[in-house]
Amino acid sequence: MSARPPAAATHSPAAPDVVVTGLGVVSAAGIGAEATWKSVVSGQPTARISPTLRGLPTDLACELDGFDAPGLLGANFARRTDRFSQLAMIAGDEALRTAGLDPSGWDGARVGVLLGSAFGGVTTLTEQAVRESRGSAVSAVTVPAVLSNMAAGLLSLAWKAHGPSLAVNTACASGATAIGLAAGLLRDDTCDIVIAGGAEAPVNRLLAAAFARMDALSLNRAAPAAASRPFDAQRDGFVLAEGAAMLVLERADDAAARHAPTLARLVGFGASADAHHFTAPHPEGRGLERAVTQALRRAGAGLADVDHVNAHATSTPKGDLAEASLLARLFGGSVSVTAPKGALGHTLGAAGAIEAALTVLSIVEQTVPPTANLDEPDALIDELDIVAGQARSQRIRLALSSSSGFGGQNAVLAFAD
Amino acid sequence: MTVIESVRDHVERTLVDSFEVEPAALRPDRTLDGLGLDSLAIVELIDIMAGDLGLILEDDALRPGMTVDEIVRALEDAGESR
Repeated sequence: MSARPPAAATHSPAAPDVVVTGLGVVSAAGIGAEATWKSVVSGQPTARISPTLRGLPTDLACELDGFDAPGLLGANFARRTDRFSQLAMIAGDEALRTAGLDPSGWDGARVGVLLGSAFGGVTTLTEQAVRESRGSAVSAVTVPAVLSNMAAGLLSLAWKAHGPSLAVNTACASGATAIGLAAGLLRDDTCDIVIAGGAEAPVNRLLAAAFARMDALSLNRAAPAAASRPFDAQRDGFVLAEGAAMLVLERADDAAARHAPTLARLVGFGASADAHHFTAPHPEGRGLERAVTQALRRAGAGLADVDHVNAHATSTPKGDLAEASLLARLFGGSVSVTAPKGALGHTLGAAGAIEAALTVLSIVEQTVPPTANLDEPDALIDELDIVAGQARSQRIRLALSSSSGFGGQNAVLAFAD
Repeated sequence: MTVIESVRDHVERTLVDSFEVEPAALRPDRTLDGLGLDSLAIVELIDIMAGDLGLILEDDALRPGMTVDEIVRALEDAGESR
């Protein structure tokens, strides 16, 4: 055991500790955080050929099997909402349940909801556009289903949460940005409870075709399960995926007062913009570096305090290289690194939230999941200690989860035990 | 089964299955409003009837104050005028 001081040990009264008291996850691995954790820890990929995308240049996706929205959420909710809101609702309900919170008993004015999504109800939008182009009437609930703020609004409505209800969009960093901003609402005493995360349901033909035109997607149809392979030498793009994750955040004192479970502390958040290119990441990860630095400063910690990094790594050649270049420069081989997108694909605006949840679970379980499909690390990024093959038991006191999005937007969350 | 019964049955089943109306609440004199359907839901009901039965109503043909009986009648009228 190291003699170093615990990360983020000191806090002024103006900056109270924020803790994670509950979480919920939905991914292609299944409904419930346990299903996703098991899939990631066992390195089990979820990518496969998607019937929805048949005939496109790439038809790979990570999708939930047999998702029964009416059965899970009721016919009215299922009929009137896009799938991204449905996934958010399921993850949010699980988060509240695990936090031991009952909306019927809380002061809703003090409860906020922050939800990130890159594309909102884009699948509904594309379906209705097809109907309109064929001369059919569009659904009367197209607008509310498509609006990207609607998932946050629906969760607030379901839970009678009257505090801030905000949609956050930093593309593929959205979920992490939402969680980072949520901590601010607790620290400045706007809220007592914030449920924050991200949701995305992007598996539709338009987005698959559009990402393919950008050369962003894996074309590995011959081996769908092996298509998403972050940091691997043979990676050729990401796999489109759906999912959602929500975290319940509270001030530590409040959580202790109600004897809530404390899964981890959210000790830092950094946000930055590359301001380099509208889609390509800065090749050396300079923007992401600023977010890492900011998150650690807020945590009262240094680079040497970091034990583990949950990387954004989407399995694209350029993106993984830029992030790896940064992580190698900052940490060398001194931190364990994992990339859950090997198992779960890229859930875009939900990814940062799902990976935040996985980072929290890594702290709870003191276990780093392997990077699925990492067989031979890219020669340019082999300085890093990327966990592959099987999960690793590790003492994790401070862990970072990094996220980046088109637009050059970055978000880094720091969690501590 | 008569055509009248068929339209009524379908409306009632749709209200229960798609709009979560309690079967016990379904009475011929209950209004859409009273059954919990808002204005958007009424347009959705019109769309479902058009899709399922091919009975086309204008968007403003049904109103919140109309009863289940009146809705069935409006749909039957639309069927007869086809």
